[in-house]
Amino acid sequence: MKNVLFLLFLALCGIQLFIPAQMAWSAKDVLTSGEIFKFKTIPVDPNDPFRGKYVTLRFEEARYTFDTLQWQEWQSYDTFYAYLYKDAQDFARISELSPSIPIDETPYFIVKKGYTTQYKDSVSVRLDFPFDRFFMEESKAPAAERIFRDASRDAQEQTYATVRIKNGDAVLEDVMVNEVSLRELAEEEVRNEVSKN
Amino acid sequence: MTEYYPQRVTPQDERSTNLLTIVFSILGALLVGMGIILIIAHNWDNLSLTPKTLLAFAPLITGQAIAGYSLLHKKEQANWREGSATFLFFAVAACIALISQIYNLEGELAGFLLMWMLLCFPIAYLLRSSMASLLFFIGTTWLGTQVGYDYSPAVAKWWYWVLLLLGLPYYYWLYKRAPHSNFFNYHSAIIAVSIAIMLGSFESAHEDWYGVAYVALAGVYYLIGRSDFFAQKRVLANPFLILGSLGIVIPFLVGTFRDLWEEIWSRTDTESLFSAPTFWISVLLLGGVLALFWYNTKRSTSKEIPYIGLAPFVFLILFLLGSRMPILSAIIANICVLGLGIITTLRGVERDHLGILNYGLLIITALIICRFFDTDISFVIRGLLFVAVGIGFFMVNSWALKQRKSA
Repeated sequence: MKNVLFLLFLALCGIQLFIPAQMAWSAKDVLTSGEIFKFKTIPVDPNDPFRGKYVTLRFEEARYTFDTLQWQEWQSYDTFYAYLYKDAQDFARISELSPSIPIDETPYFIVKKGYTTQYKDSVSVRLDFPFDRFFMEESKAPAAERIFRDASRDAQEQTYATVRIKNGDAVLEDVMVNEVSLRELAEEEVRNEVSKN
Repeated sequence: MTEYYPQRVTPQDERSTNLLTIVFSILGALLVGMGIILIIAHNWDNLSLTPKTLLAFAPLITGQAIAGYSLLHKKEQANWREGSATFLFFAVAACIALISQIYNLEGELAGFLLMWMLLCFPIAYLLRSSMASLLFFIGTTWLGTQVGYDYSPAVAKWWYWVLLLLGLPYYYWLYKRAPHSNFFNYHSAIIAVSIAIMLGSFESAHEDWYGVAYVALAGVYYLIGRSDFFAQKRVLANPFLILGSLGIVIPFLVGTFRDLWEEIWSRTDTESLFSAPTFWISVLLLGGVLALFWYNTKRSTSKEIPYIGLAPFVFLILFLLGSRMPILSAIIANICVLGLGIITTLRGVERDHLGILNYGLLIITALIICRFFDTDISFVIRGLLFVAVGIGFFMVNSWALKQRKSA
């Protein structure tokens, strides 16, 4: 009986290790071999506080317009597949939203339907992307928030997220401000503050 | 002097020394552990993904190792089983959370809680850990509030009920093995509160029938609390009785206001009633009340018949009457609350229990306070009423104490 119990415990340990390991493995696979896309970010509501230890990201592409007829057919779906292409500046754009995956090699990722706004001949849908949180180390979080918020509001500055996409899975790699990683900028600012004090 | 003071320490001194050593060892280990965590945290950003991922698994592997050791070598020691199971329970969550943060993975709280609970519910059974079981029920309730009251849940609502069923065998095992333990009492309280919270999560056009459903659930709890097994416990160790009693008294108190009945029926659509989940939940729970009342009456060794357990049927009548005669419903509710207060007070006197006696007086006081805000009685009469109730409190308590002293 003791052996059976211990064997069951070992099986449980295996499952407990497998689940997070599988999460990490899938994400690592996408980061290693996925195609890189740059998604432009837009300013975050200043009243939306830095929740926990992550930067909330909002994307220019996170709004899609359906014509009324198409919306009537698809409004019951909660998730869609966003087909992607790269524009002239190499930023990611959504060419199409569909309830089914592309039949060709078009890169895509899964988005969730957010709130909708009805117009006369069309419906505008806000999309929830699966990479809207960028986690930061605790001490650098406030500096990162300030830098990102100020840069998002400045038309001269370019803020975007680099995302790796593979077979519909999307993993956030980094957040950039004018080609420099937000983590590096935040670390530099923290170092400058420490040396001033 | 050497004869006066013993040269050898007593066994009690040895135990104290050992305990002190253990406490300081634990403190030392905690401080070292926290120091390591802080050093790692400071250098976190300098680590690449692989070392971060390996560190994320460290608490989980440690927890599993300690739990495995407990299972193999310390199976009969409750402190080892409970401690290791609790640590492992939280280590699973820490690992999943860390992996999600390292890879910036999106996830809703409900999905995280579901995964956590599914991975941890076997811990209670394998390690015979009541603490792990309690944490499981708390986590399940938390999941239930996320999926039950969200309009667009990613996780299906029925997962709460599945998890609840998965956890109940452990509660039954506690009932059989340790029915008078604190853990059993805590389980009873948490399960009762959990089900009460989740009862309101069924979407329905007839939400006002929730009033009937909740009073019926309270009736079920009250009758469970008055069964032979629970009735022998102290009142504070009988959460079913406490929740059941409050769950009956409070809705009736609210029902003493005529406005409530008028408001309910002004916005109720009677056409789709038989397709509403709330209606059938009410029917099911009222059936449960009847079954338990029959069981308590026929099988109980106590001669007391728990008539208060049938209060949900009275509430149902008030609810149905309220559509045509809201004033009558309010008047009957007033009489019911007064009756409940008096019966409870008398019960307190009979059982020589000051807590029950004062609870009965509190019910009457609450009723009077409600009338204070509801009717056009003059200030003088209201003041006299309050004074009378206050004097009544003192007199009844004083009389009960005298009875106790003379007994």
